[in-house]
Amino acid sequence: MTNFKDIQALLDRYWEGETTLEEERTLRAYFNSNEVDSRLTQEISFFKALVREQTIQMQAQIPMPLQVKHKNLNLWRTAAAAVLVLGLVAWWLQQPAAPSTAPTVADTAPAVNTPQPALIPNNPVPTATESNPVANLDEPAAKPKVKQVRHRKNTNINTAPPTPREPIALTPEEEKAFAEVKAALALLSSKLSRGRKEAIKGAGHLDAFEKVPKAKLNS
Amino acid sequence: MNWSIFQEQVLPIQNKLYRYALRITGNLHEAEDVVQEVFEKIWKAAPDQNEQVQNWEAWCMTLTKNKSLDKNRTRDYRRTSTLDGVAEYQTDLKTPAQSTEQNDMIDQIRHCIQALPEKQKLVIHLRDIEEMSYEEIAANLDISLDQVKVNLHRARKTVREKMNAFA
Repeated sequence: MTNFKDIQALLDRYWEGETTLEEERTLRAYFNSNEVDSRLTQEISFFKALVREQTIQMQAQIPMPLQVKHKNLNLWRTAAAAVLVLGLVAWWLQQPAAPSTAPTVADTAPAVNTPQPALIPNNPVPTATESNPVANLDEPAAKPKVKQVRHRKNTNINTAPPTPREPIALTPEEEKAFAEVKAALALLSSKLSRGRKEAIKGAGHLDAFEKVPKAKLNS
Repeated sequence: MNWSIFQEQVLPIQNKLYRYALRITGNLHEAEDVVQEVFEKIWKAAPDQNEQVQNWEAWCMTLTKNKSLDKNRTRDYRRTSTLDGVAEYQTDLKTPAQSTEQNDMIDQIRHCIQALPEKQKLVIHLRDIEEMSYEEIAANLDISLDQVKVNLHRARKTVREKMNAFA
């Protein structure tokens, strides 16, 4: 389209914002050619500026992510992290098992002080003999066991004989402190697990972006 | 993020994203940062999130716009700064005298576009430089078709008036 009138009509529609994309391409091509009518020189700079803007390219190289190797590596890292976290959780779940029985027994402490015939006969005899060294002195066959008990619980020998499985009676303050310590440990454990997960995740993202000049813009 | 999608759909439009970021921020280094951040965001996105993307080019352009506007908002950016990256671009013109005169005119037009109100500037950039349809522009800028046409008309009118003033 080199007819002046056609171009002028197209230009008028262009400035009014009524041209299609195809018509606008025609205008850009016309004004960037060497066949521009001398009466339309004022628009040359404008359409040349547009074309020049279209050819601007980014000079800086952007680091490109690596491929397959990192995928496999991330898989292994994820698996290792999962095993580690599961191990930590399992370890933590086992830890409070011993102390957690104390408050349970302590809850029943008042019941032990009151006579409860039903509970005492139910206690198995070997348990009673193990934890009652004085009673075992009268039985020669049980002497080796007494020695073991003495060695293990040396401080209790000269004191009054403890009752079998005597519950640890906790005061309300101790119970409160125990509960607080337990809650704090649970919080700490959860924070540690979360922190480790975040760290592993962050490390994975960092490694995903590395400079690979060859991979940049192969095309 | 799938590498093949990244290479086929995202990498080829790198310069388009860069030009858009450059138009909004008006700063070469800010624009490069924006493109890098867009790439990182896409690459780090969860696979299910990437599966929801139907049009990667439109998605990348939207990300670029948002990140560029964020940079303008959060940083102490000087509005009057020039397109330093654009100034490095060289063209093949006929004679030195003509070259200088025409380059000056082109620079003035460029600055004129850059000085337009935000919405007009983005609309004329997306239409006249990136050759996007009205629908695509409306989706990217989250405005109606009528608003696209009105802003484009006003932008071209302003540029034309300033061109006449230059001449």
